[in-house]
Amino acid sequence: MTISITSILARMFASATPIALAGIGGLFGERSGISNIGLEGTMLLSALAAAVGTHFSNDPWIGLTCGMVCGLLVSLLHAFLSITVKVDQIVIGLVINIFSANASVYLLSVFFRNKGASPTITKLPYVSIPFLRDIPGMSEIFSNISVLTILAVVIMLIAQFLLYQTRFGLHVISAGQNAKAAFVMGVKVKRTQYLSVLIGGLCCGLAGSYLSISYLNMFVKNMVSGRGFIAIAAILIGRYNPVGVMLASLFFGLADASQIALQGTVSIPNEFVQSIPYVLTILVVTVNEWRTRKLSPV
Amino acid sequence: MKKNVFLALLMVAILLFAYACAPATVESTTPDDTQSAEAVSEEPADAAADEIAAADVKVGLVLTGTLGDQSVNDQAYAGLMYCEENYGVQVKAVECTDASMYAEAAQKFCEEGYNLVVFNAFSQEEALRTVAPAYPDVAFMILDTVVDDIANVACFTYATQEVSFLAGVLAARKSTTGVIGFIGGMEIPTIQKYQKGFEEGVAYVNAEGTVIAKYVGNDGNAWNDPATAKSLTLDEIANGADVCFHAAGGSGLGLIEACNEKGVYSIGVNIDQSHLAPDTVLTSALTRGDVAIQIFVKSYLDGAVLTGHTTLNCANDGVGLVESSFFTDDDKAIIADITAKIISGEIKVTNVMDY
Repeated sequence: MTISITSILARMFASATPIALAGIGGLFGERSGISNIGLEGTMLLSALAAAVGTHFSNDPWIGLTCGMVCGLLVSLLHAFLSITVKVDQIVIGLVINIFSANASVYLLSVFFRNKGASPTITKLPYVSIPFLRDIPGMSEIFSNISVLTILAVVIMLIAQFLLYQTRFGLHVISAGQNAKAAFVMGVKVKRTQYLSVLIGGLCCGLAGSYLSISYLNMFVKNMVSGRGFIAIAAILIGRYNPVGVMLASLFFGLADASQIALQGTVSIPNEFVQSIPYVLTILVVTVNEWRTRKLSPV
Repeated sequence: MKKNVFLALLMVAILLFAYACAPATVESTTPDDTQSAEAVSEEPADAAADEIAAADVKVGLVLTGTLGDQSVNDQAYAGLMYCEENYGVQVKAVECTDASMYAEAAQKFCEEGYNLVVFNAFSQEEALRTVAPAYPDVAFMILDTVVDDIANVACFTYATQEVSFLAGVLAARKSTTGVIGFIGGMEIPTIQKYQKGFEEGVAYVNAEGTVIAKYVGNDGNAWNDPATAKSLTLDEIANGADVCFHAAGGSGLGLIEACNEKGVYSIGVNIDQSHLAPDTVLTSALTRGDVAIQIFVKSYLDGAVLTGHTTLNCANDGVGLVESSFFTDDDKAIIADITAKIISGEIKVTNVMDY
C-alpha cells in the first residue's frame, strides 16, 4: 500500500477546517478577556441547527444561516452570563458543553424521532478553484473543495485585519490586557467583549455547519467529538492570532490525516500518532509561558 | 419582580421537561382490556408444558428510545408486531426517552399482569437486574448482553463473526481491485470479532484479496465521529478499496457517505442501512433483535420458556445479509451455500471472543 501525499493533504484540509473556523472565531473572546471553553457545545448545537434548517427547507444555505444564528444565540447566552452576570467563565463553558450534549440528542428525537442521527440532507456545494487546481498534484484538493474551507481562509484574513488594523481590534486587545485601564481610556469594555464572544459564536456556527452539512450530509449525535477543545488548543498554539491559529489548525489536520494514512501501514501504534498534537500543545504552551515569565519583571 | 418572572419561567420549563419525559405508550392493541386483565396473573411464566392460549398472553416491550429511529427500536417493534400477527398474543410497547424510565416501564408491565417483558438493548441491563428478581412469575429477555444469573431471564447475543464472514464473501465477489475496506469504531474484542470474520470471508473467496482495516478512535467519541470515519474511508478508497464495511455505530454513517460520494459499494451493519444511500449500499450485515423476540415468545407459547444464554446465528436466522438488487443469482446461490456450510459446521468462522 502506498501513502499518497495528495490524499493526506486533502484529508488535512478537511480536518483543519472546523478547527480553524472555531479557533479563529474563538480567539476574539480570549483576546477580550472572556474564555469560552463552550466552543464544543456551541458547535454541536449549531451542527444540529444547520441540519434541521436544511432538512425542513431543503436548502443548505438556509441551514447554514440556522447554524450561524444558533451559534450566535448560544454565545449570546455565554456572553450574558459571563459579562453581565459575571458567573465564572469556565463554569458556564462547561454548562454549555454538557447542556448541548444532552439537548442536541433530545432535539434530535423531537425533530427526527431518532436519537442517533438525522436523515440524510442536501450538502453545501463543493467548488473548484481556477489556477490552484492546475498546480500539478494539487488538482484532487482544489477541484473539489468545500465553500466553508474557502470561507475559513477569508475569515482568517478578515480577522487578521480586524484585530490589528482597526479601532475595534485595539479595543479587544486592550479590554483583554487590562479592562480597567481600557475603561478609563474610554473603551466600552463590555460592548467590546460582547461583540468578541459573538464573533466566536458566529464562527462556531460555521464550524458546526461544516460538519453536518458540508463534510457530511447528516447530523449524528455528538458528532463534534472533541473538535471544539482542539480549537482551544489551536488558539493556544497559534498564540492568539488568526494566522497562527490557522497554521496550528493545519498542523492538527496534518497530524490527523497522517494518523489516518499510517494506520495499519507502519508499526507505530496509531494511539501514539494521535497523541502527538496534544504533546505538542503542552510543549508550546510551556515554552510560551516560560518565555513570558522570563521577560516579565515580577 | 424580575426574580419572580424568572422563577415562573423556570417552573414552566421544568413542567414542560417533565411532560416531555413521561413514558409514551405506543400501542395497546387489545380491544377489550378488562377481559384480559382477569385472565393473566394466574399463570406463572414457567407453567407446566401444556399448551398456553396465545390470546391470553401479554408481551410488553421496553424500548431504549422512540420509534422511528430506523434502528434497534424499530427492529424490536417489528418483532413484536410479528408475534402479534402470527402468534395472536397481546402486545404493547413503551417508548422511553430516558434511561431512568426503563425500570419504571418494566415494573408497570409486571403490575399489569404481563407474562413476558422484553428489553431490547444492553443499556437496559441495570433496569432488568432491578426488576426481574422481584417478579419471578414474569419471563424477561434482554438483547446484546449476557445476563445468565437470574432464573427468569433469557439473554441473546449475536454471532457477528458469521454475518461478517458472509459480508466478506460478498465484498470479495463484488470487488474488482481485490482491496476491501473495513472501519471499526474502537479496537475492542466485540469489533475485532467483526473484522476477523470479515477477513476470513474475503480470504475464502479471494486468497489474494487484502482487507485494509482502520479504526476511528480510542474513546467514546469513536462511535459518534462520522467525519473521521469518512476521512478514513476516503483514504481506504484512495488506496484501491472498492467495497467498504463498517462496525462503527454512528461513525459508520460517514463510511456510507464517503462510499456514496466516490461511487463504490458500502456494506451497512446491524439494520438495513440502504436508505442512507440506495445506489451504493450493497447489503447490510443484520443483527436481528426481532428474531430474538420471536424465538422468545414462541418458546413461551410452546410451554418451555427460554432462560439463560442463546446465541443468534445463521442457524436460527438471528444474523444474516439483506438481499438487495445488487445480488446476482450466483451471489444468492453462493451466499445460501456458505450459510448452509456455516450452519453445518463445515466452515468454521473464528470468534475472537472464544477463549
